[in-house]
Amino acid sequence: MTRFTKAAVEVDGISRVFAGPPEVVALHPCTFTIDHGESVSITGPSGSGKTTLLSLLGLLDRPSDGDYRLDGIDVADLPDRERSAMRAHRIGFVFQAFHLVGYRSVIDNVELGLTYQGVTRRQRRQQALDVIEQVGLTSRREALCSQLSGGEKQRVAIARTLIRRPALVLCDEPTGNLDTATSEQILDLIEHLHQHGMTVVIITHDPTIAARTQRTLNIRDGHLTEPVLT
Amino acid sequence: MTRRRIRSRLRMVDSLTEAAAATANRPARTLLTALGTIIGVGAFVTTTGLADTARAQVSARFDALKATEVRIQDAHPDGSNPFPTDVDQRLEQLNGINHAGLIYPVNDPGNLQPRNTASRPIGTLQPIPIIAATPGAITAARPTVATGRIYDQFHETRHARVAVLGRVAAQQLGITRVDNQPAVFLGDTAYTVIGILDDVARNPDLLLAITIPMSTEQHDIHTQGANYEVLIDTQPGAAPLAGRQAPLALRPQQPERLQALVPPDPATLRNNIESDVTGLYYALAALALLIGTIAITNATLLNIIERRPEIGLRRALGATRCHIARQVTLEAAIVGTIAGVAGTALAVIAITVVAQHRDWTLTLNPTPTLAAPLIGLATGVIAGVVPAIKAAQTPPATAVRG
Repeated sequence: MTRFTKAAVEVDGISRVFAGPPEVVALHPCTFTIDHGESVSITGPSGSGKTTLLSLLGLLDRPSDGDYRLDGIDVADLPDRERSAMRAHRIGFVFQAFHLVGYRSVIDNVELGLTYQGVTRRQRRQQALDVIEQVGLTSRREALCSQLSGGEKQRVAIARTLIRRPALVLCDEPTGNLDTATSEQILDLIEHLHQHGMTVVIITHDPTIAARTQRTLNIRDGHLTEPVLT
Repeated sequence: MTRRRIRSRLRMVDSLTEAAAATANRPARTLLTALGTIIGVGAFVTTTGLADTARAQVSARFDALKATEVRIQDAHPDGSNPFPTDVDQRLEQLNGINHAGLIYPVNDPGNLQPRNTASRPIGTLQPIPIIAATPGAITAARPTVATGRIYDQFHETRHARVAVLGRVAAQQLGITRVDNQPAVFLGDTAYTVIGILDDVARNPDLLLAITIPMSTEQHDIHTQGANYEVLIDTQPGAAPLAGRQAPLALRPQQPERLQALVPPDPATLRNNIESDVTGLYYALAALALLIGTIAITNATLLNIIERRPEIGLRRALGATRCHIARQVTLEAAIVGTIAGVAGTALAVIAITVVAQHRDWTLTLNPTPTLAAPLIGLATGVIAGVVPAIKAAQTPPATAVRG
């Protein structure tokens, strides 16, 4: 029995309500599953609840109600320490604003992906050099992240995710701050993650990006609509 | 299927590396943040070092003469002599006493008229005081003899008519040498001058006077109602003990009749001086450290507010609250340690400069000097507690909200 016999993400009626006043229902109860190795996009206009859903899927936030099983584990009510462990080992993020540590070098930022797994520095460095080569930043590996272009920053963020080989990769508007040519390169790299067997969820309001995924979920005013096969 | 237990783990070396990188990112801010602690630790080391250096100077300059002098006086004077005749013998047997003896001025009813000739002078001559003293009392005054000698127990026991002149009295009497056995006359009695004092460390009135043995005075003059006093020269540190024992040795049946005037204990005095001086500086150092702690706390709080996205990112990458708290505490501890080392170095330089300028021997106690950076470390750790708790509360969702 392998892990691929189960769904990567099983969501059953999770919702998120922010206590007021006024009380805000950011996400109405929704139910869906995402299989292992699947690539899914979640689309919707600004303020529709996309980022709230991503926070819940990424264990960055707790649902107000409902069940959530990640990789077969019920994670909705896990204590903080175990949620951190799940994030450290099973979940990768690619953010619109890159979220790099600007005062550290490219290789240090990539290594950061393994730092909270307790991997030794020597092992981290070796693996970091490998993934930096995969994203084409070998010549810039010692540069400070604050000195990189937007495209380079996002490649570092993808390398940081790639080095961890998580089961689930959550991308929040990964090309939102990039030009078209650079966006294509970044989407190719995200596809590269998917080809490595990772489950990829991309949040976007760009239909062309959504078209590159296997499945699209639409969200509007906090309501998730039926999945649409692409 | 048995699922492998996963956990978030941050190695201590990685915590240190991350904290050091964050601290080194803003060197100017780190320095300014550390300033209060630098001053605090510097003040502590300077105070300790200067106290140690000054301790030797206080010891060297301390008035050892005063510290070894005890005087026993009549607590209830009634005109009689409260002291026995063998003061010297009784007291010099006590531990820690070098010399001791009875001394008192002789009242001149007008018929003594000290002079150097048998005939009495006509008119007024500047009166020369007369002092009666046992040999132990003169020796306890630590005299320097210009010529001749001072009398001893031999003269004392035989009521010998000898005299010792003070330098000023000798000038008045026109006596400059004793090898020709000059005499001074008190009344009609001649006293052979056997010595002239050039100086005395105690009782400077001896320089102005004619001093004769006590037994001789009691045999020839019988003065009444004098200010009787016992002068004791002790070994360093023995004065308090001598002050307690002497009245009992001199007047065992009624020791309360005698009153001992004892100088303050040198060690106590030195400690008082040091505690007065260092207490103030320690208070200032503590104040500076408190300010330093608050400065580090404030700067670290500001820092973590600015770095909320980074903290959120670290949480998103799997850092636990403990990992975040540990890193922030380490950052504050690094700032504190840097401040401790810098403050210690500056303080040692300052002490060296002061010691050289004052021509003092530099004395540094290695324990507080080497421990001072630890004070900086402790300051940093304490200052980091509140920011660490605050940082640990940063929700991981901060990462997606930016």
